Amino acid sequence: MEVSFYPGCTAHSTGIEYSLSLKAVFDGLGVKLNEIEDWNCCGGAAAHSMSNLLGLALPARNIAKAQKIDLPLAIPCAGCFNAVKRAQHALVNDPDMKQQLEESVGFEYQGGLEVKTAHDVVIDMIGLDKVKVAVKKPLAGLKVASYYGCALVRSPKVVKAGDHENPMFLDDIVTALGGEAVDWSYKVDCCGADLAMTHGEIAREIADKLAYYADEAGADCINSACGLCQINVDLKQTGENERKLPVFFFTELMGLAMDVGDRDVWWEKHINSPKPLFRSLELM
Amino acid sequence: MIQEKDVERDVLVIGGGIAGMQTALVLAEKDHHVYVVDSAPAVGGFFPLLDRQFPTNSCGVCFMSPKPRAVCPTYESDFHRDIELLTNSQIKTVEGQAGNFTVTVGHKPTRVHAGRCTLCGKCEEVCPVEVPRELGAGVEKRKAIYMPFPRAVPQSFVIDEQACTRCGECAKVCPVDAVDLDEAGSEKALKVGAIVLAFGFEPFEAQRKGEFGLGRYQNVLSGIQYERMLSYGSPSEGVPQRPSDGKRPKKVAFIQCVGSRDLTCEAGYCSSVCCMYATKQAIVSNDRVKGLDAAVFYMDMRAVGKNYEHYYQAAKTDYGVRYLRSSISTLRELKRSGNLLIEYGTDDGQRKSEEFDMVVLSVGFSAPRAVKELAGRMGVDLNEFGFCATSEFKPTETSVPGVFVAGAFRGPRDIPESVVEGCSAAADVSSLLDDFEGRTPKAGRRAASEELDSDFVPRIGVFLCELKGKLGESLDLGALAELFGKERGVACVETVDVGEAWQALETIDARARELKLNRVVLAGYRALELTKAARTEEAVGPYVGVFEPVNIGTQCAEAHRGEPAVANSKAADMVRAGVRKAFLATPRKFVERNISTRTLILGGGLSGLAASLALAEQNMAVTLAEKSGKLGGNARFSHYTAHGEDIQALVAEKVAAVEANSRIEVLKNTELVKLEGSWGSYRATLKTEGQEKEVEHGAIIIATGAQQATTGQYMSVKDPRIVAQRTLEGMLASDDEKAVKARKVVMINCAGSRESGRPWCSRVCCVHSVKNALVLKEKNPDMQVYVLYRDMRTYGFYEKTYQQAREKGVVFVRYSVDDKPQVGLRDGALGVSFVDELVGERIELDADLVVLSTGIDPQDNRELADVAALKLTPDGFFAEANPKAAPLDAADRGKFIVGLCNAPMHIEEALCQAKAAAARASALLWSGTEYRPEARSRVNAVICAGCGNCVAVCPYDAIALDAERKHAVIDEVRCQGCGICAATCRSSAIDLDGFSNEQVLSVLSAL
Amino acid sequence: MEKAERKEEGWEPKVVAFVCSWCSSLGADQAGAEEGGHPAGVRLVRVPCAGRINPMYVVKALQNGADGVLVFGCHPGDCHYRSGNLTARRRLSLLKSFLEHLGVESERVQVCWISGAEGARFTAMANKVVEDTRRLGPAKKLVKAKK
Repeated sequence: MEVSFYPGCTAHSTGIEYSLSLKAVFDGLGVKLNEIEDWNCCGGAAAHSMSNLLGLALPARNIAKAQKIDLPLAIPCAGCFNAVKRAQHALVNDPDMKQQLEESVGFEYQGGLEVKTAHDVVIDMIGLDKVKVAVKKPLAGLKVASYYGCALVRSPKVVKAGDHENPMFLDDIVTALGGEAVDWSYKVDCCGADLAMTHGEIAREIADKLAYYADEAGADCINSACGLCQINVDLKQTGENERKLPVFFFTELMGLAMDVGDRDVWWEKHINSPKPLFRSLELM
Repeated sequence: MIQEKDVERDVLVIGGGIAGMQTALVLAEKDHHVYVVDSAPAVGGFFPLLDRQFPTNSCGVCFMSPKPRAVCPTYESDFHRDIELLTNSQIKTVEGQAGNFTVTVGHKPTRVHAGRCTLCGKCEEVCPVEVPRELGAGVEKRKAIYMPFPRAVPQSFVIDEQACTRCGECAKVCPVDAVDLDEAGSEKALKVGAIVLAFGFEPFEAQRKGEFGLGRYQNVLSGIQYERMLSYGSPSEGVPQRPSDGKRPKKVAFIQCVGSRDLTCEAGYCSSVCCMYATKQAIVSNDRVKGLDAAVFYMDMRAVGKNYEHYYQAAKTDYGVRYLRSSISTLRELKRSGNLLIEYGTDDGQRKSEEFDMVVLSVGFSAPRAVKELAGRMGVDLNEFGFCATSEFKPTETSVPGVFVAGAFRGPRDIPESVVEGCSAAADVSSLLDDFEGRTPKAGRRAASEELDSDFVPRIGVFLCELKGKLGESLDLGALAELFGKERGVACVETVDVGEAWQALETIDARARELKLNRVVLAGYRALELTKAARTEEAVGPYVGVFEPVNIGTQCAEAHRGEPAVANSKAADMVRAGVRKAFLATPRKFVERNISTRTLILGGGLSGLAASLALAEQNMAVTLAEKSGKLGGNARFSHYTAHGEDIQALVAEKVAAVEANSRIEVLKNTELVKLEGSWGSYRATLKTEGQEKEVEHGAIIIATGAQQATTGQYMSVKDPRIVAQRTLEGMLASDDEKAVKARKVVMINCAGSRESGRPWCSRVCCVHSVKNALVLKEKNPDMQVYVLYRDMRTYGFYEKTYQQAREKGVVFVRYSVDDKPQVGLRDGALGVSFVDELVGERIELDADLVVLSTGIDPQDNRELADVAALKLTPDGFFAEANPKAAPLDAADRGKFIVGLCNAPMHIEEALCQAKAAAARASALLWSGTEYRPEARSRVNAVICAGCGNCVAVCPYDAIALDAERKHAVIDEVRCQGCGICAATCRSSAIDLDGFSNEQVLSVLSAL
Repeated sequence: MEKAERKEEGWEPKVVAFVCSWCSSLGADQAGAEEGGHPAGVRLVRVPCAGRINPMYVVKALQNGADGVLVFGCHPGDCHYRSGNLTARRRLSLLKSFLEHLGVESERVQVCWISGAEGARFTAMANKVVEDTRRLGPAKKLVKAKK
């Protein structure tokens, strides 16, 4: 199984454990990642605040690169995924913008590009049954609150990710890994990453709130699929709550259950070390 | 005018909810055979859900029946010999045109024989299939074989075809072989002259607004679910309960506008009723759980109906309901407690979070989706939201001639409006089908009482209905029969088979004639059927003089299924009591009187004109008395409606039509100075320019209007640039430069309203301000138009007009009643100073024109109220008999109050009321005769001391004291036979036929 | 006295329940559709309206040997004769205080509003009065000595 692959900047920096674990897991499940050539920053949260055209043109350029490979495009980072979906939405639904984008990027959108998140690849292409087979060490006893944030599911008309108020795909993966998916009410709240630099206090308040309610719902850790969600909630918890919760990328949990990859390197990247939790559950 | 032979007389009503039943009940009174088709297995629509309504906090739907003393509209439709209920049915095809439609109706099998089912419930016990109960909205369950609701009509269990697995267990246990799993569907072709669409609405599916967590958060309920919970018939018996742990909530939040005023779910309209139903639910919750803290999160509080503003204010002051103006930010469930955490912004810009035990989503009304296709086939136009498209001046007509519409299918609306529209559609139908001379009532409407001999010797027939199957085992009818053979006056004791509901009556009828019985004691199944039997007896005339129903079914056989000894001894007591009571009974006589078919209408405004025309079209005589020298009333000063209809043209058309109609006598400069008599035979004294004249009439419609209010506020500077909303409308109609060339116009809504002095909401002003703002913007797009308001009450589809105004750049600014806008002069320029409540800042504007929405004041109605014996509301409008079910009826029969003298309303609503009252008056009077049992309360003038206590307690003002002879006299027409007077009389001078003191005491002695 | 004591063995309270012809009759009827919906000792007396109940009827019922009397009427606002239920309320509360003065316990005479759909409420109320009177024992105050 092959997909084209857009790693995004976070995968090379703060979210390195996401790309490492993703590669290990996909490798273990027999998925080949073809990184698209000469990709550029998706523009993230910054570009569209400066210019709508720029915010769409940056991801459009990546679309131009991706459509050269006739494979579904997998984008692990939620921010990048959202940016590309926005550009694609404009290309499909807004003829004027399509013309502007094609002119500024210098390409012609052919249509039909399948844009997938990493979990889409796991659920739709690989299938959870196959994941279950690949599980060597079920995450028995691990209570996980899956955290989706905003970029994976919103805006619903653009992203079309199903139930945008109560998404379940990460929870389904946790269940497939033998862990306990904990239902909580804050799964699609904003993580406050955009405010991390400018209004640090608010970002801290949000991170604490998320960790508090995950804990309140009975979870021992948080599971995410977004570089910004992960770093923000992991980093900004102040310890005001009774305890701090480790925050994972879902691919890390997959790697743990499948027993693949150099996991110690991943865990080292975490601010709130998951090791005591793993030890208490005899998961390492 | 049509020819009788050209049209079908029968009428089809589709939808058996409030509006549909009302139409059917009124038309059936006019001898139209009415088919009521409903896709549900029982009629009633959303009725069964509502046992507490605003603003009375009671039910009272029985007041809806056009006849006095009704059980409930659902039963009355069932009892009425001219109403045929076709439940569980669907319209297949509709062909033909106005006057001659052919309709095929498909009946889905219910697989339970309604006539045989005894409601024993055994089938339900064994049924293995469980599905959510319809009105329980997911909280309650029912089986695949079930009673739609406890008092469903038809009274029978039904099988849900979709859910049924055909396991056959129910058929095995049914003691009366009522279950037929192989029952086939059937079709029926109807020939009808007119069709009334009363499809109703669907509650908005709040799951679509996932952020509120319905279905996901356990203690979040929809308003429908919560309504059911507050009903005494619910599993919690009316007490609020948290689904998660069954605890009583201490704090409940109500979230308004869920599925209303929300473009994200294609609901760009206001559902009109949610503000009030949430308020009611908050009040009722408070009654049920003492100290409960209820908070309502809302955008605008739209308490626009009659007395609703008072109800809303009382919720705040008397029940401590908190109203928080905020579209909440988030609603989250806390997993440990099951509580809900709401984050919201306060009026002063603070972010707040508050925990609640329970959250209720005030879901709006959606258009009924299932009928879209049918409407399409019939050619009935729908509006953009899927509701029936209608015009303001012909509110109950659809785009297809001969097809009319009533109720929530026309748009979200409240019960009183649905009741009014049900009657209004009946008027439309009647105008179409009854517009010819010489109609006579159907034969069988009357029967002779002359044969009865009032002194006859009692010959009592005791009839015991056979109880089938297991139920039969609990009662030994043979042993019972033996007990009564020797009771005084008993001529025969027999058992009858009641396999089919009416078989028993036929048998009894035959036996009564054969054995010359003059009193019948019928010991049967259920109160409802016995009532039905009694009602039929009333309708077909007394073939025996006394009919005494005894309910040994539910009270003995069913309630004591497992205890035959108890069942039998109780049944023996009850039948014995019935026999003794029948022995002592005075036979009932039916009397006939001629009644006047003329209706007197007071007030020649639009309401009076419309009512006159509607009556004339139904071949009824009208006297229209107008106080002034001109017809047209307030409408003469209005020009266009919110949807752009020409009011002047309407007035001209109606005035011309009335003046040209030979059935309408118009008396201008005329006032009512005296009103005597009772319905059917009122005598009015009318005074025209000093000349008095008497008019005999059967009914009276009061349509005396109201007036534009004036206010001292904002008028401290007398300036021609400060005008009332209606003045502006006139300026706009004549393209007055002062209006159309203005740069800046500031409107102030609620100017002098909703505060002490004029505490009511005038309902129309918000819409008028939006309407006029839009016209200003249209005439001069560069103009700056500001509307200062307290709550924007653009209910229903007026919400769209409000939205258009905002899109066109009209600026809406909210102010607080505690800090009202100030209007002043500065160097000759007009200035308005006000605090924008949203941002908390004072804003100063100069204005070329200040427009005041001053509201509607009642006339000084005290004199007329005195003359016509009408009651007034504290606000000075005329009071109705029941705000929900009888919004147009005055306390006395045959008196109706319509239009602005009833309450502030739009023209569309006034036209509906006028037609509705016309339909009600004609249903009452058209036959020209009344046939009824003679008065049931009797005064023994010899014993009567003339103390007047009975006069004081009579709810119908039916008793007066004879001044000369000093004893009470009962008005036979007004008396309804309640017996309150008899129970009050100190000297037992009054007694009640059918329930005389002697009879009741004999019953007590028998038990 | 002897007679009364003998009566108490295996004694089942007898309660006369007045029901109006409208909501209350339907409510009672609905209650009866359920097995056990009516207590064994309850006997219904139908009147047009609760307002028809002459206080004398209540006294007569007690004189005739009823141990308790229950009056059902429509909810306030729902009376089919507009205000009969309210008249009944005033009248019966007056009677109750008079009966108490005579030594008839107040639980023996109770008034309750029900709607046609409130079968469960009927049952609950009927059971309550039966249980209250059972606790109080047979009513002896007004019972006429049998001939």
